[in-house]
Amino acid sequence: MSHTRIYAILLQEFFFMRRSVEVLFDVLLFPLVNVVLFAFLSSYIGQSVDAFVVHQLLLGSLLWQFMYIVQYSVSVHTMWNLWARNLSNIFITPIHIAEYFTAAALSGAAKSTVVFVFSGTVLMLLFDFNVFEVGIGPLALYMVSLWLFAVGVGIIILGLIFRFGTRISAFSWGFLPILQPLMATLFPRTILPAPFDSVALLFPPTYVFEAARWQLQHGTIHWYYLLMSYIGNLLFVIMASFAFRALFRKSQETGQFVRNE
Amino acid sequence: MSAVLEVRNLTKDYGSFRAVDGISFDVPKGKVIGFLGPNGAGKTTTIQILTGLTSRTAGTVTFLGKDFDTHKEHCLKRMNFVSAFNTLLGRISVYENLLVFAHLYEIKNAHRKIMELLEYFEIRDLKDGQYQHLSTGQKTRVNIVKSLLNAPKLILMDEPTASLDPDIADKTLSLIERLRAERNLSILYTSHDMEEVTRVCDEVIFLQHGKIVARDTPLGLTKRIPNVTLRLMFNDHKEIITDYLSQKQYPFTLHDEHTVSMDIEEKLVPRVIFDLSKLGIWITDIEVKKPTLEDVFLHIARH
Repeated sequence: MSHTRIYAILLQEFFFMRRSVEVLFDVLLFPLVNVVLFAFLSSYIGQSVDAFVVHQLLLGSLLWQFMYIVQYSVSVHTMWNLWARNLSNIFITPIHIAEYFTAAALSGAAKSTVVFVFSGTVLMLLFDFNVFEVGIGPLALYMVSLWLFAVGVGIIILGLIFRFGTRISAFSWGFLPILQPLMATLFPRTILPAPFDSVALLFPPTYVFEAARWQLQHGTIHWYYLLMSYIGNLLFVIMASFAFRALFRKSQETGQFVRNE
Repeated sequence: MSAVLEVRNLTKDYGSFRAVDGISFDVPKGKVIGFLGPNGAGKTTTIQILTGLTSRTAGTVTFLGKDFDTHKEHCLKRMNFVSAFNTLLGRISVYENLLVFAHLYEIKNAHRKIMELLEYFEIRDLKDGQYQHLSTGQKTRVNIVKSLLNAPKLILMDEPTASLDPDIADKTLSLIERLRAERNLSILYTSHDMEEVTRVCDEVIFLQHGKIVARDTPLGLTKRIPNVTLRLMFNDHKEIITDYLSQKQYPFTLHDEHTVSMDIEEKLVPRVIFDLSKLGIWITDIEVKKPTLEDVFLHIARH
């Protein structure tokens, strides 16, 4: 692993983000607007339901945004390089795939943490909900677990795009939201009708959202859920890496990788 | 002369289609090797294999004495690539793009190296402009700067002058000639343009249907076609000329009452002119057109 090459990709992301209004909107503004929207909705329904239900909704929306921004960042920055026909230039340097994705994952973590802290502060100041009362340690545990899942999804999406071409590039920003209802992000898993309540257990983030809700309700960490999420996410990232490797190799074999540009 | 790149029995299959068919060649140190061939001949596929972007079905690639597969990082650190079909990230500045690549190649004193190269190519004033706002010619120069950041031993150039206007293409070719002369670079160069290949390449490899069908210097290749086109202008006596050419069985074309052209072996040109003069023909103009690389290309492609 070369720190310099990882730094190079981070630098490129920084330069690019600074000049791209749409990326700033996608990664910073829209998530914030979304959280504020949820805050107003929560204020409204808070008139007729318990405060903790409202807080669950807000915490769920914050954690969901965190996960989404990581995945978006991992996938979409690569797509910008692909659309600019610059990805080949990067991949003919000595950079290893692992270095490239390490940079993408770190960048995603940085962006989403900034948004999480900023959104959390807005909720605290304007909507009387202090997400940080959950505790920095537990929040970090939830976020790292979700980060693993988001990185895994981002890697698989890129593998699929490299393999099958840019006609499926919408996956890079539109795939994770399809899974959102199945991962019980904003509501307890038990709300889901059968068999979807069981299907939800196949997604490691479900355990994170359940654990976070549990903590809000009971004030303690649900270690079993947390452990399940980490086991699931670690296995998922390993599987995603193998899947990416196979898809990337196939795209090099078929010539699809260079045809994408 | 030691070879920087050695390619042996390189083969690439896309399903049942064989794009590259067991080709072998070397790129010697300090030489520019041209890759020529019609569309689909396998030129770009070969370049893509040599950069590691496309995998090969069979064969070996040795770069600076090391196997490409087992020493990929070592090899990629010492080669680079320029293509008219690849650009840098448009939204960020020229300097920012180059800084990213300098770090990717782990260049020490990246800033100094970038500034030196921008100076060398006389584009220092473009440093802070966004890449997307550059003209095509300026982009090509920046791409060439990118390709020199790591002081490569070999540059793979895939049609670097495609889509450039003739003036900018000429300047780009001059840059390439200068690079070869001053930096002793080895270059593998693909192009459709015969004139530029003749101008910059020391040797030319003709590819057709994925196979090497000829390899020689541009001059050596043109000598493979022994005939030249002789065009004569004369005052009068058209019949005497046509009788003479028919008798000698030289294929000819009479363009008008005073112009005739014929394809004959180069060594016969003085003989024809001498014979016609002796027959009392007053020749007013002589034009001898030697075969170009394009003629060789067409000759090979059609046979």
